[in-house]
Amino acid sequence: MHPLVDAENGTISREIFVNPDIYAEEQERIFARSWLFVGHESLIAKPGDYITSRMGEESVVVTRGRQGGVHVLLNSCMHRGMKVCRYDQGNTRLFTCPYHGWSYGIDGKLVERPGQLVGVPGFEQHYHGELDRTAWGLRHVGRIALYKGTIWANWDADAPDFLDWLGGMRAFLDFALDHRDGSEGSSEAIGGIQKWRLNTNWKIVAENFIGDLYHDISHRSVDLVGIGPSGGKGRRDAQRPRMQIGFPGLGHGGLGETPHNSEPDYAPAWALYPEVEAYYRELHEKRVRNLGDRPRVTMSVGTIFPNMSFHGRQPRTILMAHPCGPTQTEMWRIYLVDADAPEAVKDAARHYYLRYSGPAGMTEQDDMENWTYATEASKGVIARRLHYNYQMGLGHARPVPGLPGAVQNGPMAEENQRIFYNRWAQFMTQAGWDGLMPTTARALEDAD
Amino acid sequence: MPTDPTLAALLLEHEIRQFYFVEADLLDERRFAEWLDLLTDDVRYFAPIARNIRRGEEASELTREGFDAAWFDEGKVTLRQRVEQLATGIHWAEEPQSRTSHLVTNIRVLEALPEVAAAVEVRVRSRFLVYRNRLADETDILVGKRSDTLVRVDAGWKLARREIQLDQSVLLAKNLTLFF
Amino acid sequence: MHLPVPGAHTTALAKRGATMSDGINLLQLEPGARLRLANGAIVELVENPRDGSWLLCRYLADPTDPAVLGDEEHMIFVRDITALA
Repeated sequence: MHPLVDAENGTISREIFVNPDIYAEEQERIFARSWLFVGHESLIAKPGDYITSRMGEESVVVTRGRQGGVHVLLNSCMHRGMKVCRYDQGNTRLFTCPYHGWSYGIDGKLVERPGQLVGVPGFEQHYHGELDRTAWGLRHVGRIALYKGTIWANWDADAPDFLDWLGGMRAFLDFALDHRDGSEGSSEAIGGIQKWRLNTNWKIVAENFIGDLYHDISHRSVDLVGIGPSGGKGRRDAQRPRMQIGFPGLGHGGLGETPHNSEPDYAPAWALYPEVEAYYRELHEKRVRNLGDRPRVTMSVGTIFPNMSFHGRQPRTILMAHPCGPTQTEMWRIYLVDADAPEAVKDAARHYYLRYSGPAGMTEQDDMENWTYATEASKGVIARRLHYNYQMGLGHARPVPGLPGAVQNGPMAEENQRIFYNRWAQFMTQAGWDGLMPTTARALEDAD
Repeated sequence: MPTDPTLAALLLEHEIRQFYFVEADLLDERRFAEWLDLLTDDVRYFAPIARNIRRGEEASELTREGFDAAWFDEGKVTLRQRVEQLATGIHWAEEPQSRTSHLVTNIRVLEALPEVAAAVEVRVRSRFLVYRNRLADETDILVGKRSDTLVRVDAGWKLARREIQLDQSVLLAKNLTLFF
Repeated sequence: MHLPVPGAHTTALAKRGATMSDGINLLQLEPGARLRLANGAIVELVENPRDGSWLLCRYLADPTDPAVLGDEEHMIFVRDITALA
């Protein structure tokens, strides 16, 4: 496997969190071929709308074409590299480089393929009409997947399908993205992305959100105050028992319930807001009807390898931990609501999310303190000789009935972290998809 | 009550400046519970997120109050919860506590109601520079604009509304455990 | 800064060193504006992408190539514009 990761024995060298060479290798081996979350369709609702986003260290433009399709393009002029877009969002038909004026179209009226080079100053006079404009369009990602409003991209055109990448984790992502009444999708991102920088390694963020109930103690100050939507102590409404559920071989995991076929009784929530409480009570009835006896899960938090994390209920949010150097991460938080929820419901959710998460989040602040100083205290030559300990629950994983490919390890364990770093080690040591996605490769062979 | 309008404006501005300087001292001396007393019970405390947008599209430069995400969008209940959390002594992001200095400048009274000489409500614009240093080398300089509404109560002025525009789009600080 | 480009001296535009377009900020032009190009063509602004460099125009007259006339949009570069028409 990887010399620095001993997931079998639950120890991992601190080097992988601080070493610049390992960080550089991650950019190539992980971020250049993983499915990465780049945005939400509700942020680019109209033709011509775009946002700038990130894939690893790369800046990308995520646009909606005039024909409605979503395109993800490297935000770098093909001529001499200048960013063709330095705005966070907008609406345009052209991305024009400010340096020498090369211009790229994203609208089918101007180009056959979005991102095509449509304007070259001096094309006739100085290039003598000889530049192959079709060969110098903006670089597209290799693959794009749209899933219930979320937009994912992969630089590698040979990457497995997104749904294969997601595997059984899909059920937990669905819980976050589906309507609270159980109908598919129909959540939207509220406007405005919180972006901020943090001096920690991106994996420390990902491994926290993959399910670390053990660190609950670090949030004792906010629990003592109580910021939940029903008042009292704690930071959210009572939730159903959760356990660590992870997907060995895929690297994803979270805290949630195993699949079940009937809806538990309604548990009152959002008591501080009677109108909101009534809304959720009504949705519960709809949920019971909509889901019938189909399997369903609940979840609170999870990570999709490598660096997309999400919360499914309270709060309900997507987090990207963009790598920004071995010991720096740019955090992006997007907040989700049901698109058709009444304003009062959206409003209460928004206020709750903002006091929970983000740089002013009374919960997230303590996480960031721990991540920052864990990173700093792992930089020294002596500290680097040591390994972090991920031994909790080692050897106690068991299969999850009704969820192929998954294991669970009770409410508190470090199974998911071991799964995550096993996956990391696979990506850092294996060259091809046959080794990285053996299940998919086998399925393809069977299909042949 | 002065009858000279220039003198009345000077006196009002002086009062407001003193209010801000007292407020800054309370924050920098970590007397947060006393700072809360400077806020009306229905105070609005809002800090939008800034975006980089094309010139001419300034309407979308800041996230919208009441609709979008923000750095802060809250009232006194949440602000009091923040103060309570700081006071627990186990809010690790502020344990040990930050050293801060709030520099408040460019104070302009934009509007006084019903009139300058007998104002009971004022709209004030100012700039802040907040220096924060914590532990050894954790240092942030957060600069921006404040648009406030202050109302006169028996003992003096209280803050009824504050909009904080931080001059950053990507926040270059790991948290916002401080007040502006 | 606009430096002379080697090999570009054959165009009338480059011979002048500076063009009328140096005085035009494309951001100030609205759809419907008529512009004269270096080759004598007249175009009408259809959509301004507001990038300061290009305009989407249709040709109203072109002494060198009548085939370009019509409603089709063409990309017009700022330095090929000599004047408002």
